[in-house]
Amino acid sequence: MREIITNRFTPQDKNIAVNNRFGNSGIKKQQGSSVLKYDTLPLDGRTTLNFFEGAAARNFPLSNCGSDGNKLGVGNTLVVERIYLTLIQQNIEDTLFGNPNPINFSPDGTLSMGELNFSIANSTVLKNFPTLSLLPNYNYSAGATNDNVYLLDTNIVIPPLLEYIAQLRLPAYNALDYKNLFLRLTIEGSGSLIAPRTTF
Amino acid sequence: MQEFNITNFTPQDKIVGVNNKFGNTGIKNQQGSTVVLYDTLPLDGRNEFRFFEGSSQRNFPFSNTGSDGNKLGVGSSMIIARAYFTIVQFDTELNTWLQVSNVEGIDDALNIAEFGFELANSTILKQYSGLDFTSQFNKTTNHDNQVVLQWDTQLNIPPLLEFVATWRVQQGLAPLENGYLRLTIEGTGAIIAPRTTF
Repeated sequence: MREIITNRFTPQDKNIAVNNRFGNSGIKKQQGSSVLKYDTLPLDGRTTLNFFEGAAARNFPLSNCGSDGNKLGVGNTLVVERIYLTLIQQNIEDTLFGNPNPINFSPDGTLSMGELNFSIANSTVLKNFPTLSLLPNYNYSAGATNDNVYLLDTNIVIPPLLEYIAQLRLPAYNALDYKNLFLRLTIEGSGSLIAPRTTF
Repeated sequence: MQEFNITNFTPQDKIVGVNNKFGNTGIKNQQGSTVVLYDTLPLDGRNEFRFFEGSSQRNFPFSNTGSDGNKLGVGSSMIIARAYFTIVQFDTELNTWLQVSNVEGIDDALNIAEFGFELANSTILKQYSGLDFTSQFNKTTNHDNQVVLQWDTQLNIPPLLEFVATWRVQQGLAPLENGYLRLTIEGTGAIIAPRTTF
């Protein structure tokens, strides 16, 4: 276990402050929550994976973005505090997804050599982040040998209705080695859900 | 369990404070981010590795410094909060990258080394023992295999100043075929947010 005591400016404070600057002053009245978004893409030989882009077309268990796709709905926000990547396998016979593993369980070192970029409303907020830093051996926030969750140094706020995309760049790899393998990106942290407190 | 107490003076405060002294007062208006830079050099028998020097010549997946090389671009800044070394190796037969390894997993003599960091011709970290980058002698490690070293004093790299990390190893170390040593530095930082249209 690992404990980190940060200063008095909390993720919730940042969430409200960023949204206030966008004129979205109602966020502080919404339901505070833990928000997690994920998207899953096939490792079919492509070397650029645009997570969340077009996520509205992917349903459970590939993505939990729903019809909002790569935007948060009105009154919803997310402070991206942590990220992780997961390798998921689709069973050929029953087409079920299973066998979730960290990226160092992949057939070769390709996934450890990647770079992740994150942009909100066409502005880059996380630039050329190497996936190597997600592996437990090189992940400063790993509390155990199998902990692959990376705690970002600066929390990133995703306000509602702005497009966000996480782009993962990989070196060339043999698609046959990754047959039926999918890569999932998960972003998580504090956030808010809309609480209308009225009747429609 | 490892506990961290962070004072009211945060890494973000240090970035703004150092940059203000350079007259770079706009840093506080840029996009806060987690900045991670890496550079990879061949394990060809050399006894001094100078990471980031000339890194503008190296592209993905050898370095992510881009055309800026060993300088941060305008409006960018970073705090070096942590660093780690990795061995990466390319399989020329399968034409693919092999799984990465800890340095001691390949050659434990590589950690009998000294680490240094130079910023704008000034040494800001001097003759730091390479053993601190192994999990056995790393005060900040959380588990058996973790080799990330968190510094006691966080160093700030302002924009447009040259930085070089040096790793001095013993003479006579055997080269590793298609093997490379990668240094990664990471921490809180800023990337430019022009807030205008071009």
